[in-house]
Amino acid sequence: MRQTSSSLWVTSIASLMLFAAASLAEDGSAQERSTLAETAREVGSDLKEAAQEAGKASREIGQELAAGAQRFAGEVSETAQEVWSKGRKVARPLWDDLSRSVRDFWQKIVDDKDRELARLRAENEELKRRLAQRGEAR
Amino acid sequence: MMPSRALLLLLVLTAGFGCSKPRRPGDDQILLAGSEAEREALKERREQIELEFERQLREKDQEIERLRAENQSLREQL
Repeated sequence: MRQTSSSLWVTSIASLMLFAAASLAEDGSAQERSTLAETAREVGSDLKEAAQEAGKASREIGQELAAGAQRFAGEVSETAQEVWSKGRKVARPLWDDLSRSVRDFWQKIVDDKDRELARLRAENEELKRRLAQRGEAR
Repeated sequence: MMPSRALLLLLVLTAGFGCSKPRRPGDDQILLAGSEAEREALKERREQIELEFERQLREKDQEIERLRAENQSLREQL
């Protein structure tokens, strides 16, 4: 009987201790979870800001690279007064005057050829018509 | 003496004009370029435009030649 009561006492104490330990453990992990969540939020916000800044910077770099590449690849109008051609700056009035002058010159030759083509086509139709008439007459 | 000098001057001027390179469209603008790089860029631009026209003109020349030959053949048949 004595032994039974003492074993009951020990069992109760052990249960109480286990309960307390479990509570403490639960509190600790909850606190730890909240700390972890806060840390994660802070890190996340920092990362988000860093990513946004990196994105902005990379966009700017990309734009500059694209502009630079265009300068070297071809002709890009940078301002109203200059044109870039493969990294070489040309005064826009000179560039435009030259383009217009060269185009006008060659366009006149193209127009001459078009007139000659029109004349030859008309002659071709006339010759075919006369040949057909001659065939019918025979 | 004076007429021979005038004649000599005339000869020199004539030779000078005769030796001058044939002018191409865009030469005036190229002469006005402020640097060698600008001059080169303008020359390239001229070549680029000429290339655009070159294909067009080649096709027209071929068509002109074809029509001339066809018309000649038709005239012979008449």
